[in-house]
Amino acid sequence: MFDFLIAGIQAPVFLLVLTGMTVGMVGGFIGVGGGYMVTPALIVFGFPGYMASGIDVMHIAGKSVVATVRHRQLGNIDWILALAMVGGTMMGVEMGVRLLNYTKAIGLSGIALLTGSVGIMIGLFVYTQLETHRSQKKINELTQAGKTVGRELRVSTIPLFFQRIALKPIVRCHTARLVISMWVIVIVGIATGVLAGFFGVGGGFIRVPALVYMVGATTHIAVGTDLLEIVVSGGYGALRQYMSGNVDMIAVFFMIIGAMFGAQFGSIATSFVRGPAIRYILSYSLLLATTGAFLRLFYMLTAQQYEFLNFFAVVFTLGEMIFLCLFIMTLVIFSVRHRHGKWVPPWIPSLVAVP
Amino acid sequence: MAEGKRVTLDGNTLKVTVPMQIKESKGFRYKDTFMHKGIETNPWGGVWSVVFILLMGLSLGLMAEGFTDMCGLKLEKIKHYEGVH
Repeated sequence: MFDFLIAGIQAPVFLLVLTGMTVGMVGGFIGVGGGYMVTPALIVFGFPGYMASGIDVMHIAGKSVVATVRHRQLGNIDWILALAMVGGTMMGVEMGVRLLNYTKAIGLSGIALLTGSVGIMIGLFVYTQLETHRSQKKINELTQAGKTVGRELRVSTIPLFFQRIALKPIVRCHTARLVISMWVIVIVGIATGVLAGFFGVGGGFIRVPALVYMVGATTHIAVGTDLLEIVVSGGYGALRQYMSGNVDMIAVFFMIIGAMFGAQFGSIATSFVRGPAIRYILSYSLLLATTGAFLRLFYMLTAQQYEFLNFFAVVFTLGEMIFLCLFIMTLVIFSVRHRHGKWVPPWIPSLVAVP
Repeated sequence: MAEGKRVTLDGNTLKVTVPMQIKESKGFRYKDTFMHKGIETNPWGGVWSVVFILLMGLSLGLMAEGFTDMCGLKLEKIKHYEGVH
């Protein structure tokens, strides 16, 4: 047990390091900050709610830098795409916060927040699952036809619609191999920023699908580029939280130590898999987070009478971190086995990359 | 003297409660950080802390990259557009 003087509580350091590591791994792999997992976990460890948010956002800023450095080495970052999007995202976040304050003023915030969050997450989960399943099927067909399938295979035609919008200035994103109107990128940034600001999260789980399905970046590049954006948005959020006195730097320090190892593993793991594997994990992450939010929604709708709903919401959130880490590790292990020609389950070859 | 919210009679002693403790006993949890207790902090503390965390992340990231390179595990750039995509 460690005495966190600023937060005014005692908490086990081991759990903080472990949380940092697991969330770092998931975040480095699917390109999210992981705020929706860390904050409930810190509350369970005894940190007050406002401190949990502050520590969470400060640790996300640091962890994202660690993951971004590794994704840069892997060539997963498109700097032009990130720079074009970051302005829109920041503007969107501010608009989202104002929208939240408005809903709060008319007495709707809690319910509106959770209902909106559940609706969007379910929608994203269903679409990602359907699209990724079709991609996986197509990869299998192409492989059986003797063709070499690359890292990415998407069957969605939505990006083509957005890429056809010829509103100047048109930008050329070299790494992502995109020629697209800058307005599309900025507006996607604003839209995802509004959602992020309204729901009070980093927005990675909305931005990664948006980059893949609207802008048309590959999943690997969407993950790397999104992490770079989280450095900026997380840094700004961390500054705001620190100025409100909500950050215990010692707790942040312990979490970053864990996140350093987790983020390394998560980022490197992306080099072992194809795009659909990342999208599958992202969609499962959405589903589990939605279940947690859904339970919390019922808890609030029933006037907070049934404590077991809140308890299961926390269990789902913590269980999600462990489940996703195991899933990522399984994919890496099977990928290595597949490279060495050993037995793997039949669904693995279409998800892992063969050098 | 009448017993009130702030002063209670405990045997022969008067127990005076500070307003913050009354609020906290009601479950008010938003004003108990170091800042709200009136401890002055450096106004630039937030900026320094964020810069420190970002630089720490950068250093750790580069150290890890150097470490894996040193171990002979140099990672190559992913070839995103090779094969059918």
